[in-house]
Amino acid sequence: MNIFNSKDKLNLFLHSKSSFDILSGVNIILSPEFYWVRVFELPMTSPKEVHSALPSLFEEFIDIEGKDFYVKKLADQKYICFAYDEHKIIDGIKSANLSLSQVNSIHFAQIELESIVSSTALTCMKIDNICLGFSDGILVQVPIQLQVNTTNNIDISSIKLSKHFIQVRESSKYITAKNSYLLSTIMILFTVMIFAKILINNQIISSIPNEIESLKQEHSMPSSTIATNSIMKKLKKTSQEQIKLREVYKYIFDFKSKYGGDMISCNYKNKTFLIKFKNIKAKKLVDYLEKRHVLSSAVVKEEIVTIGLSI
Amino acid sequence: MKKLDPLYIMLLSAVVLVVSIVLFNKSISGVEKSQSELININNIALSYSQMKKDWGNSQHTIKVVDKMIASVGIKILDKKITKKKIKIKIDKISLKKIDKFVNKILNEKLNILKLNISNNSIDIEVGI
Repeated sequence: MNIFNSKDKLNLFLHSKSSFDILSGVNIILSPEFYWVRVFELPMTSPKEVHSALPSLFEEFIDIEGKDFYVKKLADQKYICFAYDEHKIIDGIKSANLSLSQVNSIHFAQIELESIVSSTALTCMKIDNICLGFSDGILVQVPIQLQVNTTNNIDISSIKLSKHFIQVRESSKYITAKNSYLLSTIMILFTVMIFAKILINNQIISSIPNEIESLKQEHSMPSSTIATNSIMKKLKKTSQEQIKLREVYKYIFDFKSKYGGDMISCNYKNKTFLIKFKNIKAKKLVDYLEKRHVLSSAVVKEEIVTIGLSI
Repeated sequence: MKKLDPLYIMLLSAVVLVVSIVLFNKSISGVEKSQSELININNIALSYSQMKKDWGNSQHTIKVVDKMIASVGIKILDKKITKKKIKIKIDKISLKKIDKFVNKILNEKLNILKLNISNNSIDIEVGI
């Protein structure tokens, strides 16, 4: 077990047989057994471009199913590229008695130990009983049988970790990370669409008062609802009165054409009728009019029937 | 780990989606309320303008009355137009013309305030 201080976090070298008893935050340096590394010379200008091409580049050497990739630029058009299995790293962290929440960052030994491990596989550097050496610029775990010279332990405490690190996350057993991102994207798209629709709806709502105002102007309506209702009420009352008036006239004229007789006069004013008939049976006229209307008066004088009606 | 768990992102997206759906429903009910208000005002406006045209348009009333008198071909004894009404007196008129005139008057949407009919005269007041 190797524990070294790096600022406030401990630097740990993680290999498949590691075991720690630490509760504080840690930085992890991955043993070469956790990743595949290869140097590529590519006509690409940025690591981002290289990263997108990595699956097809690694396809020739490893099964890329479930692998993630990392790129570090070495020189112009020269990149050192890593492929790693997130689950394998997580398993390694867990089997080392660590939790993911403790892990601050995960570094590749290839990058972090480059400056301090001897550049030949013949010289082996021991870390937690693991021998490491460089072969053609690539850090490898040297089998015990090949260890020619074993130097003292590397002082990792003096290592200042580089900015090149990866992060891993434990995916749900119910949904994969890819599907989570896909679902999140779909939901966000829906949200954006809904918010766009909300904006349109708000515009519609804010335009309604203007439409109402122009409608009022178009029909020369008063601006206040109270004034409009008052005028409407008055006009409705007039309309109802006039309809009633015409009904009474129709009724009187119908009677005349049905039973004959002479109408001397028919006066209407202030919602009151005064009708005078001659040569007509008063009872018949009264009976007829009483069916529909309230008679205010009925007088027979010298064969002239005078009927008063109110509407 | 510093990297945000995709599950958290998904949950956050779901919460935002639910909130947006709630807001959307609110905005939909707001639109429905505003539109029903607009339809209501439109109906009131149509009814108002129709009623105004029928019972509260003085120029229209004067025109209709003049047209009726001209169409029946009667001589007016007296015609006065005040702020609130038109007063017309017609004398020495035949029963046939009285019938025709009264029929026309009653068939038009005129606010009849007074209508005295006798054998040979008509006395009428129409509100304007």
